[in-house]
Amino acid sequence: MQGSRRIGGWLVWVLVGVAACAVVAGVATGPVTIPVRDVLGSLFSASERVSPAYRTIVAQIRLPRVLLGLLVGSALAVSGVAMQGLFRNPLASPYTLGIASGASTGAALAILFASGSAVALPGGAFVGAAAAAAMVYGLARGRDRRTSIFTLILAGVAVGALFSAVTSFLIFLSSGGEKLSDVLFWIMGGLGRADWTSVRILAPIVVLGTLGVFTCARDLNALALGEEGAFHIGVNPEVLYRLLLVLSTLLTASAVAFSGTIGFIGLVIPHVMRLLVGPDHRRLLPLSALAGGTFLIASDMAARTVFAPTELPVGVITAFLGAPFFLYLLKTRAVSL
Amino acid sequence: MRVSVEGVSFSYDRAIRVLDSVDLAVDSGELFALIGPNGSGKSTLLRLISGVFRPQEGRILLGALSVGGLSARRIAKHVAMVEQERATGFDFSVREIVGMGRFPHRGRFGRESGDDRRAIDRAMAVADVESLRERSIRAISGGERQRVFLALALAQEPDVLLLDEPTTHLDLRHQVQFLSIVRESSEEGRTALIAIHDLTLAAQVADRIGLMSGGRVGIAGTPGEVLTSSTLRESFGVEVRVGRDAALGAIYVLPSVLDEARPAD
Repeated sequence: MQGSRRIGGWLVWVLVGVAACAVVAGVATGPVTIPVRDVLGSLFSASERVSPAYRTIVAQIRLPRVLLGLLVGSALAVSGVAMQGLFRNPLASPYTLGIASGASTGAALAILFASGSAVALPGGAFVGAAAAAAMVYGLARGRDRRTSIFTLILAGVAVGALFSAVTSFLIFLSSGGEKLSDVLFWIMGGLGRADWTSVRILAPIVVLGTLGVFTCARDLNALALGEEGAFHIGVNPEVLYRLLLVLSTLLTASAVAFSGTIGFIGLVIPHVMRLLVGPDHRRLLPLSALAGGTFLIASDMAARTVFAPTELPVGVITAFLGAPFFLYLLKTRAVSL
Repeated sequence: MRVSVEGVSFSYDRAIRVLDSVDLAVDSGELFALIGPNGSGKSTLLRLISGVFRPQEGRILLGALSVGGLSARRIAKHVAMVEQERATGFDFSVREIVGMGRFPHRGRFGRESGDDRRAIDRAMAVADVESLRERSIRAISGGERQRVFLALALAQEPDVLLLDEPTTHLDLRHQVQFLSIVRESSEEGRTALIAIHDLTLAAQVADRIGLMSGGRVGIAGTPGEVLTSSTLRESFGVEVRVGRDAALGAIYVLPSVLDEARPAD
């Protein structure tokens, strides 16, 4: 709280600034590089000075993509913080409940049987994710109506494996071809399908879901004392579990529905931020939201440019950039997770 | 605040009754020690009083309030618990952990008030953890950690202090230090219930002792009344000698390990 951990206060504003710079840089970068002046011009003024072509690229293509990155990255990071706090387990992530596998199955079904239309693909992925999470909760809810954390984790692994098997079977049935590569590319994750509709749907969900998790920040701190320890200081863990599992599932399933299963962010951004600002969720949650969004925008910029004109799956970049930084922090900071 | 346990029965899986119609009343300012063999229901009784579990029969009253009808937060304003061991999920500092004791007294988004800070500072002073203030809860010794959790409980400013074998993992010095803090805290008017295995220490700190066996509080009374070689032989199944130290006037309980090892020829 004091000393090294006080960096939390100003870090919020630094990260807000960095996030804003990332948005501008993300919009400027691409096959056609748009000068920052013209990016700001098309975002904030109607002046004739900016060419109509630039305006179209900014408004129709790049801005929705960058905003989708911000939303998806924030949602995954917030959900990751919530799941790690809930499970008190450093390996927990937004995908612990089998949500990624469920979403992949739903997306594969949509691609193979509904030609991956703009409605069917995110819809199918969301339904698959929600179905997997619902199965996991159902399995973990004991006869005494208490939720067992251990059963949740194990059920998440089992349900995830089940859905992965279904997806593999669907891929096998597809017998190669374009649809197969569509499924595989979706599973690797990316922001290539971004448009204003996806941003408009995702924005309210991410904002409300994140605010919902923020209201539980203090209770997540209490949970560090264990279930009974939290109860003894006035936090009912059962109520908290239910609320956070629903919010986390909503955030993750909605994000994954539009972006595919982007790995690493939900697992590692919370750890990185915890190493920087300490475990207090009242600081950790907003900072992780900003860092997750910024990181995904930056990764997507790299994914678009490194092998241009071919686009890399952004999950490859998130792991390539994030893992070494995370290992560096682990080695240099004498703090345990 | 008087704690009354009235005809309470409880089982975890409905097969074995851990508690069988327990009656007990502990008054304000009284330090009551629960003793008894492993599995006799001491911890379960404390957890029922704390509201973590609800009794299947009977009721538990805090003053005039029934625990069964209270939310976790309402209970936590009155009751604090220190357990034998407690997990700590993340690298919180000692100050942050003790500060959590104010949660039940504060709004969800409320910042620490002057009252909160005073309660935290007082609790840290009483439990002698001020020097650990900025240390990580994970980087301190077991004895220090138990004092931190005692400070957390005291920061709650509870009327009732529950302690479930809090000194089991502590060395002699830390046991004595911990129990004298508990003793002082009860002399300030708190109701204190402690489950404890060390009978000699129990005899020194407790006003009354309850001996649990078979899911009931079999005998309750002053240390001198409860700690006799015949009652202890009956409930623990071992030979013990109970004596009184001439200088201190304190009761001591001496288990006869040698008698067990070398039965009389």
